Amino acid sequence: MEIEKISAKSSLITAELEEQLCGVLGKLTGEAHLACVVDLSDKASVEMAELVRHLTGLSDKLTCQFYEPQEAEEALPELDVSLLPATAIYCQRQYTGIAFHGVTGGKEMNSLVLALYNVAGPGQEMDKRIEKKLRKLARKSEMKIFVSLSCHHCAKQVITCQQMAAVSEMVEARMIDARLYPHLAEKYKIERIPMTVINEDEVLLGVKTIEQMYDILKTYK
Amino acid sequence: MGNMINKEVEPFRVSAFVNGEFAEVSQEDFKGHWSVLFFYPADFTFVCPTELGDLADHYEDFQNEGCEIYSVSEDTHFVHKAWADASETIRKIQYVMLADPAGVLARQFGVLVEEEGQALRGTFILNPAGKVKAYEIHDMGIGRNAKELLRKVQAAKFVEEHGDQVCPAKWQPGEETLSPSLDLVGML
Repeated sequence: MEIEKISAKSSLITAELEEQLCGVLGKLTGEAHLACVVDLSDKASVEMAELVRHLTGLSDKLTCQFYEPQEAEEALPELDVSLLPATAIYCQRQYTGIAFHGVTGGKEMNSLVLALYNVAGPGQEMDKRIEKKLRKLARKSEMKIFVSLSCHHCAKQVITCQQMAAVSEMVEARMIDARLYPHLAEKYKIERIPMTVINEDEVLLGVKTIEQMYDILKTYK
Repeated sequence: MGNMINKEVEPFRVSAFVNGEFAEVSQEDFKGHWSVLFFYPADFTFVCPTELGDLADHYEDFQNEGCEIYSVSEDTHFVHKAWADASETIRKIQYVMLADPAGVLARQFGVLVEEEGQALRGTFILNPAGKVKAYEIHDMGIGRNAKELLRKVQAAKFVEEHGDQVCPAKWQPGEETLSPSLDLVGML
């Protein structure tokens, strides 16, 4: 997709927010890449594309690439492109297991920025013991975290799950804005958020600690 | 009577009619499970059997939630039995019917109309510690809905189990994307 079609200025990033973002992104020690799959005929896709382009323009450690859905099916087979806009974080050309379905507005901007901080470095502090355990996870686990952009608890849960994904290649953590995908809200009977669906098997409500999440993931062998 | 939320049930002991038998119930019986105290004005009235019957029809749903139901009126347990003998609707009731002729419970929960010796239609949801977590009080003629009461019990249980770590989901398609807000204090 031609990047010129996408504005480099997102209306969601105000001058004040841009200043805050520059402060955080200025701390990045490594690089990260955002792959963004969008359908530019859709408003949410345009919003997310502009947000990603604007955000990555604030740091020379960040890059981005945009894909149309059909193009992405071939180029990014690891990504679920049925839920657009879909944005995934890559590090050294590897999918980190961190993805966002929807626009990372509201509280979810915190999730996106912290995911980049954790992937590119220096990363949030984590108890060494739990970090070691996470690196030893033997089976792949996929977590869908259903959120609302106005829910302050939701971002906490997304951050926790994606912090785990940043450490372990066995963990995938996808934020999903349930408002944008009503068929999923109906399928999973989402009445409270954050709601985390693990391996299409277990459903958790509310915010959990990283230890609690690990204890659940380790049961999948 | 002030706000009843989080008020713990004070000690009491009353007679009860349950499944054709007489029993005694005290505040200790409210402990260890969710309870609904369902006050109504008097036996042998019209609205009362309607809503008590509605409650009886949903009793299994309440039990599935680990919730016991206690209906309360200012009649004696003998009157409860006589009413059950006379009414098919009341006979099918499996929950506990408390007898409060001295007004001990109705007074404690602020629903006793002293001059009439009857209770207002008060509904109190108690947690397993015997504390009031939700309640509503209707005037005499305004009936209640067992389904709505069940929803409230479920909501009270949910909040107790999950604390304030969740938000209710209210999806509004077409809603504008919220402006991002960054709050990373203590997280970097």
